[in-house]
Amino acid sequence: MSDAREPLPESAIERNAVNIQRAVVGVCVLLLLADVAFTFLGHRHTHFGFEGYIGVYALVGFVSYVGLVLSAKLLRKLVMRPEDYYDAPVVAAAPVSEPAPVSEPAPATEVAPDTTEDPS
Amino acid sequence: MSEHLPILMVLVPLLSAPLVVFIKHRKASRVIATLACALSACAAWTLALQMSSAVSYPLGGWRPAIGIELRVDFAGAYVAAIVSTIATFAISLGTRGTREDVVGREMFFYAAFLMCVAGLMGMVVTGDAFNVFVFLEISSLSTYTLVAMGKERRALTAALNYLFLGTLGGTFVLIGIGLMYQMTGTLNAAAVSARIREVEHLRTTHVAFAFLAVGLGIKLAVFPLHQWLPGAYSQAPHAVSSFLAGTATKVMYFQLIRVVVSFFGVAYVFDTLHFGDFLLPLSLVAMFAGSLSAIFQPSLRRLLAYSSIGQVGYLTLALSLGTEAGLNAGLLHLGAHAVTKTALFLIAAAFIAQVGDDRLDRLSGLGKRYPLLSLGFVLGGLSLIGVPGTVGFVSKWALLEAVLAGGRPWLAFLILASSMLAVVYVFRVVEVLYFRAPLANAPPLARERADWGSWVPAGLLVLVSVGLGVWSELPSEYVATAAQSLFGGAR
Amino acid sequence: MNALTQLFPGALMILGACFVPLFRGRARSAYVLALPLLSAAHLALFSLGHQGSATLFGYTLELVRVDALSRIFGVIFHIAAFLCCLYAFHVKRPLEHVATLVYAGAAIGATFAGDLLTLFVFWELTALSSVFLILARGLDEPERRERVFRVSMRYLVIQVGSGVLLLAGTLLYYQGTRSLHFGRMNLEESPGALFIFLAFGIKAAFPLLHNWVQDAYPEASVSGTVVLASFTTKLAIYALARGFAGTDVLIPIGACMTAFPIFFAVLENDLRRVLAYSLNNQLGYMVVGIGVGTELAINGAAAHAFAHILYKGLLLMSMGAVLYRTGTIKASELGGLHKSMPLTTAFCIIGALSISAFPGLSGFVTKSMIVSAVGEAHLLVIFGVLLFASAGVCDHSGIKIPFFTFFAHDQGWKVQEAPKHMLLAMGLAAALCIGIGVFPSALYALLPFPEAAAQYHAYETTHVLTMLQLLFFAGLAFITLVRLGVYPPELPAINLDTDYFYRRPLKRFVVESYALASWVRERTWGMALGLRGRALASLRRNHEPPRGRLGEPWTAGATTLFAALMLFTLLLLTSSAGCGGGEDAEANDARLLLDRVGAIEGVPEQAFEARMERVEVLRRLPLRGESLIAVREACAEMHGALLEADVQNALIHSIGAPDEDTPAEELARLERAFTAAEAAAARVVVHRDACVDGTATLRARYAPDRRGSE
Repeated sequence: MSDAREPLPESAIERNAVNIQRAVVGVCVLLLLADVAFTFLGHRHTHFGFEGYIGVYALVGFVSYVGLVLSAKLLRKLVMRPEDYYDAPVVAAAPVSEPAPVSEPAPATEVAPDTTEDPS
Repeated sequence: MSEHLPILMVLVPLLSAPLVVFIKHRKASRVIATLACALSACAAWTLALQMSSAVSYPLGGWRPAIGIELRVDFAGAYVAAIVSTIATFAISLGTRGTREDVVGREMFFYAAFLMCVAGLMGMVVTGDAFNVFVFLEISSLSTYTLVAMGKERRALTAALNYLFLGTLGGTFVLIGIGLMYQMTGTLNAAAVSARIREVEHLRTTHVAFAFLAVGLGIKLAVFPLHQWLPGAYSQAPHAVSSFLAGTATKVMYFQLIRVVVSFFGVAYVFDTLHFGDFLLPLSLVAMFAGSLSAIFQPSLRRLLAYSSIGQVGYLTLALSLGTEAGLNAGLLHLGAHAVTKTALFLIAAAFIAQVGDDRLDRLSGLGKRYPLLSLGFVLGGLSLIGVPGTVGFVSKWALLEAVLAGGRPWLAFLILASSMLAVVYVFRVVEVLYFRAPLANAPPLARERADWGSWVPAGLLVLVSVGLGVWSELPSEYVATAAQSLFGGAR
Repeated sequence: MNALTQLFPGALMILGACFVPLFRGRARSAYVLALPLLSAAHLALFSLGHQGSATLFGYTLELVRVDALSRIFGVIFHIAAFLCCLYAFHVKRPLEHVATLVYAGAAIGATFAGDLLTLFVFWELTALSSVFLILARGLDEPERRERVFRVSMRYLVIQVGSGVLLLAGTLLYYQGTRSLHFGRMNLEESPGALFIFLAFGIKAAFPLLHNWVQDAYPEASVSGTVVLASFTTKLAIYALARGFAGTDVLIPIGACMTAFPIFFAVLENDLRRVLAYSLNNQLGYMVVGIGVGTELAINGAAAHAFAHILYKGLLLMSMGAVLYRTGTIKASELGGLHKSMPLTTAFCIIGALSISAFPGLSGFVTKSMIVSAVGEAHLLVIFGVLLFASAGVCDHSGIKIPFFTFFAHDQGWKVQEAPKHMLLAMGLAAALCIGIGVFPSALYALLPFPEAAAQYHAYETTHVLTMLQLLFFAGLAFITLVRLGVYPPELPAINLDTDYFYRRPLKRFVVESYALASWVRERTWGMALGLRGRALASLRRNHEPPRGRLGEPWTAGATTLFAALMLFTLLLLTSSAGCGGGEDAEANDARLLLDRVGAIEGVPEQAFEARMERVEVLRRLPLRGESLIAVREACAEMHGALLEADVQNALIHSIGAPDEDTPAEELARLERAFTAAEAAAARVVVHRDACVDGTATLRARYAPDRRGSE
């Protein structure tokens, strides 16, 4: 639907998309360097042993992100359905008998909605 | 004067009925009927509020057990007050639609209505078993007539159906009373309850009770015997269905309580006959089947009627517990449901008078057009569900307490689960009223504006049901006294 | 002043909501905006420790209880209510304003409820009022009406179901503990507590009970979703914190909640549904905090709820603004909107960074408390799950939401910036997010344990550094995946969740069983009616007016049949009762006997006639079994004799003490009376033991009256 429309002129952000990506990579490198510096100069406040390693949070962030996205892709195979999935009517597959042999009105039971209410 | 109140409650409507026919004046008949019901209601309320113990009134001055005795205890006064008040509301301020239902037949309509009121009041106040039957027949016969006066031709079928089943019920009651008389030699409630203890191990006594229970069960619309109710309620003239919905089954329920508590005794009925085990499953089925059917009804009045069947399930469930707490809950629910259901039927009548048809989808989008009526319906519906702040919650709470005190928490869950069904059918109407666009091809409204007579009585009843929900101690305390006096005397 | 503190906090909003329809146009919007402010001023009147009580059904209710825990939730609910009303400034229909105000007022009332019954009332009120926010969307978009109605019914049934569980749990809890006080509960202490826990669990969207959030929230109106997301779940968090703090099972539950929704959030195309999943994930953090239960953890949960309402509201507002302007909220149809909606973009990014816990923003200073509490409790696995979930939040809320809406591929939308009032609401929320991030101490002072909070420092170098690493490397991963073309594209589709089970198989089950039932009925009735049915049918076809006129065929007959069946059953029941010998009959007889004996004792001493009558009844009472008859005889004799003695005594008293003037016949009467009384007393002594012992044995054997004294 949107293909027919003309996009607005490129914005600064779009022009600098690659630069932004580069900046992110740069910050990542800086953070790792900071981590190294902090490990030797400062005092780490940790709860668990694994937190002591350099760059472990970077690893956790990266790996869990990739793992999450990839496993979600797998999950998609399992759970994805067309958009109108729930709106499609459910068809009863109960034994369908041949048309009732007698046109004797079914005995009005308690639960069945009464048919006599049709405006006649 | 005040000692004659019990008989006045019955006599005033009973004597006004022929008066209406003799006077043969349309407007006068309506005024007379209104006045008679209002007088009866005044008498009932005076009695209910000033009595300090059960009142006994020997008819004609004959000593009870020889003569006929009228006997009104707290519970009786409570039911009588409800019946007569609802009668006043249903008849006096009825909608234009109500009045138009019976154009040309006013005298007979009002006469039959008064007879019906007299019959129901008589059943409540009498202390004599045979009189119960007599008044039962008076009220039933006039009810058949009233139902048959409905506008559509289907009303005749509904009335006929009701006639068959009602007669069957009446006959069963009569057989039961006959057997009871045979065993005890008396028809007076107090005397019966004293003597029944000597014969309660005999088969005939059991049979007497079985006939009475099933006979009243038909009139009360206990689950598999309820088929007359939807037709009768949905085809009768509006004033009548509003009145019947609030009173007929309630009086029968009260009679059943009296048969169990006053005549046969709780110990006998529940410990020896295991009546509770018989009534309980039926009540549970009624709670669910009635509400489920209500969800699928295409017309407003049928929806309300099926909801009544579900509500009768709560009533009988409360009785089947066989405890004072249960009785208390039953009596509370009797009042709560009477007020609520009458209000809802009156609102339904007002709507139907406006659109000229009671199919549910004809009400589409009317919430905006008739904001007060619709709001009334919502509040009444909330009371039907048992939402806190309404009288329906007070009674449902009492019922839950009674069930839990009996040590059966699973019953409490079933009660709550069936309330969820009520949520669905009430919100079904709410959705139609507020969230649907008016039908494109709808025929024009029969009238533009709702006249005040159509929403004032309903509005008052809705206010009562909300008010009693807020000041819940008013009904609870009175009914607790009533249940105690009924039950305390029994055991 | 005093009169106002009689009302519960939030009452002004509920009461005020009733008058909304009286106003028109701008006046209405202004009035609606003023109500939360008034209500907040009202809340300020209550001091910490305030308690207000009321009486209902003979229970004393604690209508108002103000302490630090309820206060912080009360404050944030007021802020949220104000922001929601501001955001909904454009809405013309009173319905949504009324629903919003009542809903917010009820949530505030519930927060300050001191007992379970009051809590239940407000709990139900939130359910009933909030459903209108969903229904309202059907009014805006008629083509969605059917769908919206079904969604709202599902929502309502689940919400009311939670209330029903709460009520049932309350009753059971009361049965067990005789207390309605809403305080710390123990799951083992009473089954009621378990039901209450489940009721809270439904509203807190525990795993498997969670689906109503994702089902209903995205279906509400533009402003409705913001309102819905602010109150219900956070009310449940409050209730859990109040009732079940430190309950261990909450820790794994919460961890599950943080982890599993993020997979769905990655896949989901409807961006408001993505936020609903992320809502679920954020609730998980709070639930973990409540489960840990230390002062730091509870502080963390409360603080996180506070911050969460703001940034989640901010994100939903920005998505709502997009929906309002473009008419769609599907990621696959959006993109490039930063050019036309720059301010909304900026606010959305602030919200996204907040929820990702970027240092300097509100999420950072609150989430870190929970994570630290978990670390201090040395729950390694949970800690790992929370880290994983943090990366996940960064994906779906931090990157996916702003990226696919405002950047990504420009789909050529040329729309206006969001309306001013929406921008203002978003701006306020964004300012609060930044404010809390920069000055966390203001929020910390409001927390349930302010001393513990004052000692906590979020901006600690290790923490800032590690969090930044986590977030930036997650961002790096995103860039890598996109550049490699591995990142899953946004597809218009729905993803199955647990609601599958009640939306498909259950529906199918109902449909199938109905079909089966009608098949069985057709077969059985058809056969039973057989020939007669055929004959009748042909008659009817030829001779009856069209169907429907006849009314309800068979019903009278069927009902008669039922009546006969019922009678039969009752007779069966009763005959087994009456004639069945053995233990049952004997027990009945014994109870009957005890009852009659009790009846005599129950009569006042002076009512001689009544006593006489009852003794006679006892004497004639038919019984089976020698021993019972012996007891009956003994008791009848004893009570007869007692009565006789009392009667003679009364006679003696009536004559009075004799003196010289007493005539001879009086003296003789006195003499006789004395003799009779003595004889009666002797008879009492003879039978007393047999009667008293006999009834005592019977009473012991056949259990005293089951119904007790009721």
